[in-house]
Amino acid sequence: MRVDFNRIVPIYIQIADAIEDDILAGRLSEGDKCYSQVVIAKELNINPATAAKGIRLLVDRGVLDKVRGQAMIIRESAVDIIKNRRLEETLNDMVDALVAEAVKLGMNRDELIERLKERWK
Amino acid sequence: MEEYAIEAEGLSMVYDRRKNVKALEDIDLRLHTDQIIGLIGANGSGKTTFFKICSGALEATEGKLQILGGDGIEDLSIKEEIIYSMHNLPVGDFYNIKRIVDCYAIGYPHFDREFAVKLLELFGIPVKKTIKTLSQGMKSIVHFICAMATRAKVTLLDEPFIGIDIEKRKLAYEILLRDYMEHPRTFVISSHNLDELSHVLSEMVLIHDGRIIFYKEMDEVREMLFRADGDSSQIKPFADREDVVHQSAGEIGSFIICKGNVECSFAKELERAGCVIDKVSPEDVCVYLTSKRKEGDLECLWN
Repeated sequence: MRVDFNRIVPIYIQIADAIEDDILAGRLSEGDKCYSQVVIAKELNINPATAAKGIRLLVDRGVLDKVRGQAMIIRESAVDIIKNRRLEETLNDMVDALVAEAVKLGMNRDELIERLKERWK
Repeated sequence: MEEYAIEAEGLSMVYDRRKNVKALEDIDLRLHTDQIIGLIGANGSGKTTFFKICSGALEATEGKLQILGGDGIEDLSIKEEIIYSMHNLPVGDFYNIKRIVDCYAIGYPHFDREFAVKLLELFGIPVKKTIKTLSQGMKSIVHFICAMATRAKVTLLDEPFIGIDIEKRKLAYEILLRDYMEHPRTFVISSHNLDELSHVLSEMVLIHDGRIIFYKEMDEVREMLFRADGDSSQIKPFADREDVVHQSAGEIGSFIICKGNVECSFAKELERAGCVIDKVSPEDVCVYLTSKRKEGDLECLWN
């Protein structure tokens, strides 16, 4: 997991996103224990409160479940939950940015779609 | 457990009554327990005065102060839970390091001597040398190590990392974080290097001219201000808005610093007007909220 302190995205969100990436990539599986707050804080050298905030965000997003005591478990439907949210939020934002840039460059709709088809391999 | 490690109410400090110069002015502050809190401010803003009052080295001229819910000066059980340490603490020049460790150990029942010795070894500090022969950075490290080893519930570190090279600073931050996780307690750390320290801190206080500007969680500080860049025609219509805290107009480009985060409605408005929106780092937040500089104030120097 890597966080970039200079990015505009707050660190706790970067942590949540990075854990989601690990789930999508299969490094963490549904039903597994998530990285603990202490491990994240130690390895990234950040305040444990920030690590906890990242984990809490994943609980709010429905990716993690808190079970007995402190252990955080990756929910059985986590992969679908992550994909759905990212389709709705992240991908839409990226497409908006893409369209905005294309307009700035004077492209029309069909030209952009053509370009997308070319790049899709 | 107490909710607050340090509670100050109406705290003021006047060093020279005739001149009525206030080093601290009417400070109201309730610092949460078990947090790593940055005390940030320019030179002479009152950080050291605040630390000295908290540690009992100075008596405030006005106001009330409670440490861990009690009296940090009269109550011995509280006094031994407060450590105040600075980079050039006045200790005997000819004391060797071992003796300085002893000095710290005396007043602190939870002092972990083994931990201190291991840390000294880790940083490569020879315990038989006198403190006088060490470089500034090494001196800082000795005091930092000793303060950590007290495990005092309220640990006040005044410029602890001054003079320390980057590799050892990073080591010190890591040790601070790990020991905090093993033994949660309250740290208040003053520093001029907020950029480096901001990921270690959970909260920070900005102090300016003896007054508290804010006390917030680090994540809130990161979202306090945003920056909008554009050419002067894009920036100008917004420059008089109430939420603008700083503006700069140049030939190459103009920018304004505004209250709010990068997602707020004002930021969106500026974005629609063609400006580029960016976040403002905690270090820059402090500068923009306290700076006394005026635009072009350097021009007179080379004319």
